[in-house]
Amino acid sequence: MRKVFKAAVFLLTVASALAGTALLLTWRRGLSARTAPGRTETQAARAVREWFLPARYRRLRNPVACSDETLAQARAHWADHCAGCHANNGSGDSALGRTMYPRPPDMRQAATQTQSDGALYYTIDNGVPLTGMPAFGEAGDGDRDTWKLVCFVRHLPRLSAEEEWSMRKLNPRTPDELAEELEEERFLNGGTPEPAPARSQPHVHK
Amino acid sequence: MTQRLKVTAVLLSFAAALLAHGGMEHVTGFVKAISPESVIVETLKHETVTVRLTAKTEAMKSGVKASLKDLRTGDRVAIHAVKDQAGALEAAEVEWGPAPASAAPRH
Repeated sequence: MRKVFKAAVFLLTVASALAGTALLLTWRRGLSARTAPGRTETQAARAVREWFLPARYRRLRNPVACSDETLAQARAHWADHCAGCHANNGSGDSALGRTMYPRPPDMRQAATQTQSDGALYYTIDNGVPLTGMPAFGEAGDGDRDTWKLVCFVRHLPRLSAEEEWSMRKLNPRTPDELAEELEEERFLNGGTPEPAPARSQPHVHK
Repeated sequence: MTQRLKVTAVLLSFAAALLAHGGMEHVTGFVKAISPESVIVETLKHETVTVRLTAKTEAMKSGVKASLKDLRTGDRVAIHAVKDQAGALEAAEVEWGPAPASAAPRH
């Protein structure tokens, strides 16, 4: 009994020391999303996410056939809903993704690609608490649009430059930016070169 | 509640701006000179702008991946560039040639 008590005190002391160090470091540095989480934090977070994945999702296989048509639909869906943080190519190297905490992972890499279909589906369908990832689609395991996105996630390592380029046309943009893009297209197509009129959004045009 | 909606709308509008351009500057005009290191563009406002090229610069001609070696003086070009800390422009994407058909329908 005494040994158990001593062990508990020892563990409590170590945990308190670690928590104290973490608090001290946070207090000195302040809270900021400018730095990416460290390796330990990333690994711990991934382990926790893995532990809490319901067992049946580990075994789920994608019920949707990943045809060219499916991929085209998922590509458009991704460009519209996901690329803002994850970038069109899934690298996470986007204007928002670069300073999110934690950073969106490079989904072309093994950490994502080795997950089961069900695990990928679960992440999209339920989001990831304490990150920027919200829950998308309908609850449950039958949202076909989400399964199509799983097809696209699997396709990311082989995404061609042309596919990525075509997605840019589907990324969200303001009416001013859309007008600007059309102006740019018109110019590239041989239209009369005209300086763009003043926009309500302050973009620098040289 | 109304206040929250307003704040959300403002944040989303900023987010949309970032999403579309990724904080990039656009340089549109005619290629005045090109070298492996940079491209000089005469803009639509008749200004001369130099944009640095790097190994990471993507080149697309008419929506198809291309080589910057195919870019010629006099070509119409649209460059999306980022400013480095010294204020110099570095090209992320260089597009030229007739643009492919615009925006596929959204689902």
